Amino acid sequence: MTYVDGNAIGGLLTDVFGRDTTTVSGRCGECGAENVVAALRVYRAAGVVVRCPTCEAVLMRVVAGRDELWIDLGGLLGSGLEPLREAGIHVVHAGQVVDGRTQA
Amino acid sequence: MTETPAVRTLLLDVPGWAGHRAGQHVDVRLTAEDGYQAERSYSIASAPGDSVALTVERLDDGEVSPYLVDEVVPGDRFELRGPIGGYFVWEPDGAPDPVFLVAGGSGIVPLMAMLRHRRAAGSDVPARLLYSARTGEDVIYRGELAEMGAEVVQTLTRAQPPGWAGYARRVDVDMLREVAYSPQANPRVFVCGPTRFVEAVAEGLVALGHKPGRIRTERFGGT
Repeated sequence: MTYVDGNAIGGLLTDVFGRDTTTVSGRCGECGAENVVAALRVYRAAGVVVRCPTCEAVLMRVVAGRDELWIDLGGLLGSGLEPLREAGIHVVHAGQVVDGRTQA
Repeated sequence: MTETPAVRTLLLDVPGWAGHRAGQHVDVRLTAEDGYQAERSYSIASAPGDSVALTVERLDDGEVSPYLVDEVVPGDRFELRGPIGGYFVWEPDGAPDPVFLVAGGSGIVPLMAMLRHRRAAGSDVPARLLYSARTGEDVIYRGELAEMGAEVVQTLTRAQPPGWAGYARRVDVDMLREVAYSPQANPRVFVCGPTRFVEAVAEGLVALGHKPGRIRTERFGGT
């Protein structure tokens, strides 16, 4: 299956985060590679799957319905999400804050 | 404006448009009478400061491009989101590093925005474009390319007009070695085209010693 760059879902992510996040970097929870969102690999099917360009681990999943949006950012970890945190966006996975902040 | 038999440029009047950067794209959303929505991304072809121009290639099985290429008429309205993206963007920021642009097919569009921006800004940053198209008829912006003040190298992969002096094969490492600035010149590189094209070009450039961090890519899937 062919893929496009993370840049391609910049519009969708602007809907999610309320700002352009294509230049925000994230760290892969699997291999630790740090890449800006624009350089991640995007696979489109019924939803959008975003993978690490280094190890192919799933970093994000987004499914958009007509009135609903489902987002899983569970593959992103740690200090790579610092720019998002600074922008006031905190990433939580399985109840744990994973954006580098001490859990409240 | 018709560019090639399959490609058309649309000039849009976008109320409240705050301007864009060279290399950005917009999402076009069409809504059918029954509420069904289709959304696709299109690169902006015009220089920042000019009104929004989209150059769209018709994909025969597409949901949006046949409308934009064949049906839309002046005065039609549709939904637009953007401008989008801050990564695949070039600006004359004072850095003297040359710019190497590599386009596959309609991947020329965001790179043309960069060349138009460079020309409009009077930038003297060296720029070189390697543009791969199937046939001479498929070359977008044919007339304008020669007037960009940039070096333009073309390869026609499927058919060449009589007397063709350019390349006549797919972009490969040998071609990149001949056409690209040397890695020592530390060029900024922008590659746009179908995913497999971009992959081959990026891998070839890295094999020639270009730093991956200097190569920015925009893959648009497809073949």
